[in-house]
Amino acid sequence: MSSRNPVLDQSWQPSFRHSAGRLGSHFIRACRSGRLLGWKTQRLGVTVPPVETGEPGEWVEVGPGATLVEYATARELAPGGIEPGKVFAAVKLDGADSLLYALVTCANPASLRPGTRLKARFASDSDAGPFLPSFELLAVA
Amino acid sequence: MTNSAGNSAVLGVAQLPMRTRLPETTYADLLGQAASKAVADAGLDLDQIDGLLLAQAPTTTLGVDEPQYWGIAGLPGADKFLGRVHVAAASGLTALRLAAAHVKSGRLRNVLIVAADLADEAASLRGALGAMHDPFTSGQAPINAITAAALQTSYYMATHKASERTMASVAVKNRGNGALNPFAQLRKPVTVDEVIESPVLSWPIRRLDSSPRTSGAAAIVVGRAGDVGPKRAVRIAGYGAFSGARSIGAQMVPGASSYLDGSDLTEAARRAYADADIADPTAEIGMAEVYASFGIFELLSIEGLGLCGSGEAAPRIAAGEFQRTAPLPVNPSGGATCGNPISASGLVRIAEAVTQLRGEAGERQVELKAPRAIVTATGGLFQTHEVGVLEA
Amino acid sequence: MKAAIAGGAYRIERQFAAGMEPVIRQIVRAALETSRLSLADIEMVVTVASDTLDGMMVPVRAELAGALGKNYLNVPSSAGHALSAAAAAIEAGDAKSVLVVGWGAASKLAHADGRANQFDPFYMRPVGATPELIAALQERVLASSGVLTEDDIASFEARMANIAREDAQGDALGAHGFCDGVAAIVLRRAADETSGAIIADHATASRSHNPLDGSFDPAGWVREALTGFASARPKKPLSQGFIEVSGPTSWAELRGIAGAVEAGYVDCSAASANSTGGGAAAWFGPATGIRALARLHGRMDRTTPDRGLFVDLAGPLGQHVTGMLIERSGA
Repeated sequence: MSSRNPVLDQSWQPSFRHSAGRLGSHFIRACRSGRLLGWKTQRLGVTVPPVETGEPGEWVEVGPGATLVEYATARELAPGGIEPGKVFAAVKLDGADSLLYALVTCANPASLRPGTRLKARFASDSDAGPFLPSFELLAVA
Repeated sequence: MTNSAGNSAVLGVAQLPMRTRLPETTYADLLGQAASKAVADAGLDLDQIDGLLLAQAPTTTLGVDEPQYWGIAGLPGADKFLGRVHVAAASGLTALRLAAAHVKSGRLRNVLIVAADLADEAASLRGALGAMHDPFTSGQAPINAITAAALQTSYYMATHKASERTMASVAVKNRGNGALNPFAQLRKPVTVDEVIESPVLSWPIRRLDSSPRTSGAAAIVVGRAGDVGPKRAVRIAGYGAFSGARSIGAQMVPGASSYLDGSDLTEAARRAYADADIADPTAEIGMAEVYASFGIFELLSIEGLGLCGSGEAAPRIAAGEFQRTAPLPVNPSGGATCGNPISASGLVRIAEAVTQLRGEAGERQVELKAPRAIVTATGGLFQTHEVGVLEA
Repeated sequence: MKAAIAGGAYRIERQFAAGMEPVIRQIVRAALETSRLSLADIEMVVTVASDTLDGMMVPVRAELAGALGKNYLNVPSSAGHALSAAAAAIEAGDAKSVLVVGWGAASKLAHADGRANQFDPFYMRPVGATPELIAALQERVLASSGVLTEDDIASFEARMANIAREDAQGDALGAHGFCDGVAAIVLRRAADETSGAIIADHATASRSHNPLDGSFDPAGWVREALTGFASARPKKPLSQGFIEVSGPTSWAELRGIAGAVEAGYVDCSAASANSTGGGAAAWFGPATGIRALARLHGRMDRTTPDRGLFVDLAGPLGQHVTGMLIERSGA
């Protein structure tokens, strides 16, 4: 019999199926059809994605233009990290009061600055694949 | 230590209808809805909330770790978050105790506690709850919440010579009560025959004796008794707690059998009564909302609370006591038998007791011989016990 | 009735060879010894630990932390929240003595960091959000706005890493400061404690990890938290004091220090702040801040200033803030 203490290796990856809820579903369906919506309440202003406060609210159109607040590159990429050619960023959509964390397509991240203008690019209308738009740099006129 | 709760009181309560599935709301949505209702019930403005507690236990059912990082964003008091409390199903009441402490210390005025659960998003609720088992001991045996309750139940039946029919009276009572409760998930009464003929989960626990998988949410506001209009505030008259968080195997042996005889719960109750200056609970208490995800918990709770002698609860319920029309109703809401959103269950007990004490329970209103209610919550495998005494 | 720190203990290592449990028991005993109390004297236990890191529900084995038979709370969201809960219990008269114990085996994160689970599954996980990424974004915001430079961060990090190594018996800790740790603090009623540090005041401030007001600077959040102190801010800083900030990253800590200084309760240069090494250099989960407070208390002597601030920043941005004003007994 081994004189080492018994050890038990355990790891578990439970699976989940999450419902986006009434507000989230409306937002996601709009994204799939190429529109960005914000949920406007008195307390929080226009939130994207929608934040339920329990008060009455209304949907308003936001974007498709946005302003870059900042982006990030990790020192080491986490497993399954960001797609090459894209960076993780915080953006402020035109008309929104809250920030959105989003992917920005950019071959040269060094060219990004706070204040860079962006525009939303939606995935094709499909149940598979991402529904959130990624953002690309607005061409300078 | 008497009257440790000082002048702290429950000012507002809210609960959302309990259902198996709530696909229209995410976890964060549920919190938002329950929170705004509770603050409105307290007659306060949203910006009068100066502290927020989240009761969430465990997070494995949600599939989101640290749910406070995103889930509380829209809530009143979100900028003054005081912490997430997690003592399994006892969370709601331990959060109450903490909120009351913040108010009694004079530091805060109106503390909001919220809790929600979505029971249907994990592939296996039992699997998600499996994290409560020590992998070297109870995790090796087929112990889960159901089989653990089965051990207690068969011990009780053998010790007190109680038949399955007698034991079924708890579920029958609660399901009858739930039929009158618009928030209950299960609203159809059942008969003794239906209970004892329902599928065996782990003998002697049958499906109808066990609480369902429930999604739901609740919220309460704790503040100073004098701050709201008359009849709206319900004072926290006393509190008692006992943490028995050790291997349940260690609590099933002669001389240390609290898992089987509820003596830890009895001690928590004793502390609560001492704190609230209650000498004779059968005379001084009007009703009780006790956490009972299985009938045996309710029986051990009734006995542990001193509402009757050991082994008497089941036959007395079968004989008509503790029913909604009896002098000391237990679980007039239908209890966890009729809906058990685990994180929120403690808050639901408080919401129900407060609603009854205010005389606002509509069809399910019971007649209270004394303006005092007991609320209990239990965490883990019947391990940690919280007992609160509320007074109108 | 204020709370005072009666004692504390901690241990950190890159990885606990014999597992967590014996260390938890050892640190609980050590904290009680430094407080000159026995477990029987303790009326309440508060734990801070993550079910996910433990692989088990923390509250069902609170007996490890000495909770058997006592009032018990588990506040896994942060060290600050747990300490604040313990202080509130004493202030409210709920308990005369409270043991706060926290632990975490963050060394596991070096093998598999599942913390993307902290983000909502709809909007943040699909864009690859991780705690590291949003913290990196925060660093860039702070750098762009001119309040921090790479050099500030590098020199601070080096100083903190040295102190952390000292605490880990000379071992270097894992990447991102991930380590295994246990820390405990005993609080008592100030009236019962002859040689302690009083928690004169405590308050919190918080944001979501997508801050709805667009703020990313912990300095603002710390200032906001400290406005919640019941005692009024002095007209000018009363004295030289200590400032200890425990946070998730060195930039969050630096900005936390700045906010604490700006709040005007004590006078303390950024260069002399964080003598405990903070939290980023030796991070073991939500309980991390307890180590800094235990170390601070354990090393108090005649030369320690009479007054100071302890700030716990929790979450990937340090967005859950707890601030404590600590005054030496007899001050």
